[in-house]
Amino acid sequence: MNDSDISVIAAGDTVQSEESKQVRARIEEAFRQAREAVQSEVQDERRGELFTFEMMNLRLV
Amino acid sequence: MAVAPSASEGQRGALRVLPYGGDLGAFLGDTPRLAYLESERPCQVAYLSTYLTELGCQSVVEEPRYIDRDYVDDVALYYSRSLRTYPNYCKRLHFFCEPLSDEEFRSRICAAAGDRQAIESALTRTYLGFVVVRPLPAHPIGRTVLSVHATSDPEFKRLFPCTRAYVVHLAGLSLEIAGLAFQQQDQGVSACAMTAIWSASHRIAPQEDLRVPTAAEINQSASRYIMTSGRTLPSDGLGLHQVCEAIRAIGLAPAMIAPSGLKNDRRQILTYVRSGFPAVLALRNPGRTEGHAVCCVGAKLRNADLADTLSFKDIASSLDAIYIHDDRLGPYAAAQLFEKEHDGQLLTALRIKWPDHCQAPPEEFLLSAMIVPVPVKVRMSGARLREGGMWIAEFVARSGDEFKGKVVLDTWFEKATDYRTRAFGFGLSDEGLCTLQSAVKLSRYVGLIELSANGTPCVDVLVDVTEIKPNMAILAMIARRSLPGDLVVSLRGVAEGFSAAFLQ
Repeated sequence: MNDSDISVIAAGDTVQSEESKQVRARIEEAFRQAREAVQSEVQDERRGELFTFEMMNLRLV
Repeated sequence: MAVAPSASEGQRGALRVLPYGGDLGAFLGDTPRLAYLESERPCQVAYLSTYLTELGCQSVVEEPRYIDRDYVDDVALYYSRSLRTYPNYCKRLHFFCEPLSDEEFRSRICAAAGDRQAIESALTRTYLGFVVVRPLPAHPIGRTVLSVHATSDPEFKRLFPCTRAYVVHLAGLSLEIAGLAFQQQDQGVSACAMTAIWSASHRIAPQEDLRVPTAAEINQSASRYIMTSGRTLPSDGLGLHQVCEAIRAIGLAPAMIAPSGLKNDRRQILTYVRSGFPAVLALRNPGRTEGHAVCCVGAKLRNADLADTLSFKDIASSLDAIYIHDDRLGPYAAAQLFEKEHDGQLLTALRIKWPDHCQAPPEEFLLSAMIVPVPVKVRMSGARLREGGMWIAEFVARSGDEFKGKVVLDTWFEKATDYRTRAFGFGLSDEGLCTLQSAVKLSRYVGLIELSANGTPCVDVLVDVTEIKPNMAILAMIARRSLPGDLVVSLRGVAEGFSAAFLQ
């Protein structure tokens, strides 16, 4: 993202110029990379959705 | 001032005001059927004695004949069928952090005829809460609502979003106290898991316009379809399936989470507690087949040393300890979270410190499961909400040096109406505020992803939690302060990609 990107977007979101499409593509790519970077953290945290037989059989007294 | 009438001997059951000398047990002695309490004093009494002293308790107002909804249900279901005669009434003790006498209290009752609200406000300022004393040997501590201990430590921040306001009626006056109900398990009708569910439901059920169940009702609903250990009366504990069924019967949904390491468990606990959803924690003691349940009601966060997660920081990494209602101990007991090696694995463990006079070493448990009673409209799990939070935190942190390594991620669930009310104080532009308040459609509860930097919020992301996955559910992004132009453009682009509103 740079200043020229800002001016392209600021000029009018409704105008789907080639430049603004490129800016959006860059934003999408940056967001995709951010998502990919956190993927292992996300997968690790999802282990909390896995229940074990031992866990379900615990009796709380 | 009117001369207050004294309590005549003929007024059986009249309120009494007594000084508090640091021992709650001193007020239990004349409770029916508690004659041998001294030789077998429950640890909860010792814990509460110390807790009340630390709250600064000076006076006790005793209601000697109090009909308690929870205890009456216990009597109806269980104690009324015993050979012994158990009274159907309790005693209720109210605590104040001001010196009161019988005469002084009576004078205030009389003065309330003139300006009742002023008297109620004055008493509420020094009111610390109440304990219902049941006529049950060894299990006298019934419904107890006490205020949170307000210690200040510059190194830590203590959060108690799981408390709520209780209106308490005493001598025709309405007093208020913020806390969360606690009770000791009686081992006849209720065991630890039932009291933990009961405490949690005290916070969530009223918020959802649901009736708070009694422990007896939880006992019955938990065993309606599933029996894990034979008889239900006397209570022999609950399995996790039964915990889930009891929560469902209240009208709430059981969000169940398996432990997955200290880092992740901290994140899960904090997300739910931060939302005001008390978590029932299933604990196990290595080497024992039976587990224990407590209700997590608060969090203790370090003010510094947040750990890096990729390019951002996670507020959950500062979770140092939690506050629990442990029915063997008392309300708001501190429990340290730590990692413990067991069978070659690093697992999340809790260390519960007992008061000195209980003469018991700190107890260590392994976390076995978290079951959070949540409103049924909250379908998205805390982990899925955090997933969206991590995407956006990483994206913002990568946007420039101003945010790299400085963005702090926090996530929780909040009622949309509460968020909208708070938003009036965000300093949004007129257009941003009007759009948020009148044009953006929000689910009853929203998932809130809050990104802050240098101690101030910078971006909020609102998520529709009636969906399951965050990529389908982002409703709005809100710039909470002035952001660099390129970041505004980027966030607007991301918001458009999700068909979400971008407001500033």
